[in-house]
Amino acid sequence: MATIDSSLVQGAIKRMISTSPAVKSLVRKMFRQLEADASIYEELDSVDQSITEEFNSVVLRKVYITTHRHNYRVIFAHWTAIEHVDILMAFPRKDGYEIDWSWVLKIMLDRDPR
Amino acid sequence: MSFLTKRTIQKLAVLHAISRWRKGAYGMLRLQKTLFFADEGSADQKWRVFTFKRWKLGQYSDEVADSLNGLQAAGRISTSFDGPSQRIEGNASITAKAQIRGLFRRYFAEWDAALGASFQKWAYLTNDQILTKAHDDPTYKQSQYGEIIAESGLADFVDFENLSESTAESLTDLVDPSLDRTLRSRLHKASKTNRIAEDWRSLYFHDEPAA
Repeated sequence: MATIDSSLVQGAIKRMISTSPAVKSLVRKMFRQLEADASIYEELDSVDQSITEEFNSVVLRKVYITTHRHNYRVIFAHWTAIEHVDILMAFPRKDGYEIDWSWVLKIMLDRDPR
Repeated sequence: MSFLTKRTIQKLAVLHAISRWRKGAYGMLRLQKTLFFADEGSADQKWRVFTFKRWKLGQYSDEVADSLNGLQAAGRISTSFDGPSQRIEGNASITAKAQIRGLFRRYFAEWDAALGASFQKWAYLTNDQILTKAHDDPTYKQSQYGEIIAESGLADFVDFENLSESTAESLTDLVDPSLDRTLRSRLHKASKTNRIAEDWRSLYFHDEPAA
């Protein structure tokens, strides 16, 4: 069973789950799955491989949190040797799949959104 | 049905073009002209990729320059000075290169063929030869300084039939100017933090007791 640390994205997760009960339910499911077996989620293949090169046994993976109205992604570091998960990013995508960086920035500035 | 933004397509087109040079593209001038004459030579003028205007050094596109800046921020190109020349090299995995090649072969076949032809003609000329040829072209001779001589035909969002959402998403992430940098910095932060078992149930879902 993996331990989870989401402290880097606490504001973003809180904002996500406040958008709708459906998103909240998917996020809860994600946490349960991360705890049980994080390796089920697909590896992030579009980033520079050198990001993880200096660390031992870490894999970057992503989770799709999608409903008919919302399109979020959660990216986490899966430390396989010690079964620990650090959630690194959580964000919505805009049309055309671009990351909504203005949302990410707003969350960082808000610090503690309700 | 998957959409890519015009900005993403342009960055991918520049990266795709750069990958044709065996040791990187020598200089902006060469790259600009290769891309201009790819658009110009494409049989499908509705899908011109870039807007070009007449500039001192011939046909020039701000969109190509913006794409290069975006690719640099994304870590997808690196530039170095090789003697008197600036060399622009692409940086993408074999898988990513194959995805980009697939996109242009499948959806921009005419432009991709024209890029090949333009590359043959322009990619290895000297700067003097490029300037002479570019200034001799009707698009230069029949326009004024600063005038737009060719406009991109791409909409802000382009719909690609049968392109999988995961491929569209990967391609978009590949050229995102901040994703790699943000992940790198957060992974470093996370690696320096003591690993704790967070009580996510009580933190986010007050209705569920902690395990």
